[in-house]
Amino acid sequence: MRSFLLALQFLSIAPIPVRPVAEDELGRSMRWFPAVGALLGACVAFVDWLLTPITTPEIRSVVALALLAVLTGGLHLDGLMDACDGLFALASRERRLEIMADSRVGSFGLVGAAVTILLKYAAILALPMGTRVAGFIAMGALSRWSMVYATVGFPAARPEGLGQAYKSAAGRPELAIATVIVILALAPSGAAGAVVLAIGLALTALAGRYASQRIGGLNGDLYGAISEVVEVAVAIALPPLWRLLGSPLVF
Amino acid sequence: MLRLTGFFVALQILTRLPSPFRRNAQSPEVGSAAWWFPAVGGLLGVLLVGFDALARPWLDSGVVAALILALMVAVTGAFHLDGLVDSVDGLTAGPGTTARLAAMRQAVASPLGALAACILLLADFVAIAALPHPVRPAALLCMPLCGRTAVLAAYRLYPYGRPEATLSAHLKQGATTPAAILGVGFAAAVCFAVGGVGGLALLGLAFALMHGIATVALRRIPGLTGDLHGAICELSQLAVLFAAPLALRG
Repeated sequence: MRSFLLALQFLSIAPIPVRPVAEDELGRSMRWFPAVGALLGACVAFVDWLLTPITTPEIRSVVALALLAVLTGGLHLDGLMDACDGLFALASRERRLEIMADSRVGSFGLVGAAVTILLKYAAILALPMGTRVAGFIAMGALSRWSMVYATVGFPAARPEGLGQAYKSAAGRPELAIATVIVILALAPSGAAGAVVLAIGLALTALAGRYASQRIGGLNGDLYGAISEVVEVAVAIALPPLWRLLGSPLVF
Repeated sequence: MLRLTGFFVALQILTRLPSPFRRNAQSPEVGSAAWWFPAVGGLLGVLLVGFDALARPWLDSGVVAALILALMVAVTGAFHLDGLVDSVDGLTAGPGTTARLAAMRQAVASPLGALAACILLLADFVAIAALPHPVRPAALLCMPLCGRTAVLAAYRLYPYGRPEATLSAHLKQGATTPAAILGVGFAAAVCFAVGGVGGLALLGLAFALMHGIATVALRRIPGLTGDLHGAICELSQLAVLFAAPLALRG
């Protein structure tokens, strides 16, 4: 439970008064990342449901998008912006890492975030009624699972930093437990859930390999960026997959 | 560089698509690839039309529009959008030419540059999503084609603003009158083939935007820079998207 609360504290703005006592507690809390993602998705789905009778699908979709950003404190979007600035700059490996650590934003970060937000809005808007709960939960769970896979499966770019604090204590057991949780969270999505799991795996592997080539490994910014990309990909892929492979459980 | 090598050099400059060989971007010979810019624009257009046709049966129209936008950003490496941000940063800086040119070089986006990029992306998104079905292929083909043709014409028509031998300085050298006529002629032929007189009107609109931006910029800096050419590309593309439903209707 303590471990879950640590994960919730890190991945959301929930005011949880727990402090990690041992260094490796942070890494071990990664096993709960998909559960926290599913919980965040459920919160968004609940608000979406509350708003259904009183407002339009466009406004509900913007509210869901904003809620995802607010509930996470913009953590992953911030990582995405830093990662775009660093990865796509014409610079050496060291300089790329410096750019990522710089708190100011450049054109690539800006454009990357703007396009991601537009994609997410359009994708959330396109989630059909009745399937939105399953969709939001799948988005939240799989995107946070991809962070665990990225952390465990790829080397760290730097020996220090928050990303490394997680990396040092997270291993195969964390990934295994996180995978079981994400499969449970994807179960309501049916066969389409299995396909998006494969998509999330492939995207994370591609991004991990690309970043490893450019900066020698991953860091916290990359984990956040991967989570954003996977979240959007899940939202885009689910509706056509449901049409193809059968609808999810309807709530 | 009339042979096909010029096309691949232009491809290397304007996109992140794989090119069979690489040229040093600082080498003066890359300038002679300028007249291939419209051809690269046409290729990007074909890519967008193909993607649109594949994605539309499966995905919601808003998602397709956002994906087309993402595809353009990914394929071009946000090259021209970066130019727009830097142009706004530079033109709104000052006082004095030196300060403006220095501000364009800053890697960090200013609030106004950031604002410009956000509004442009939102406008692109809305315009692509609103393209009616019958005119979509022609509009998506003309959009990148007209944008890059306007860039070629701008290199031919306006002075270059920096003293150093940058990539843009080489392109300015390479954009000779015959090169510009060839490139613009190619673009006009394609626009006419897919959109008739309306297609030509879209190309004319892109040139009007180019001239407007150049006029504004030349009041503040002595010549255009690579960033301004990026801004010309982005804004003329947006104008083409806005006008396409009207121009291509017949």
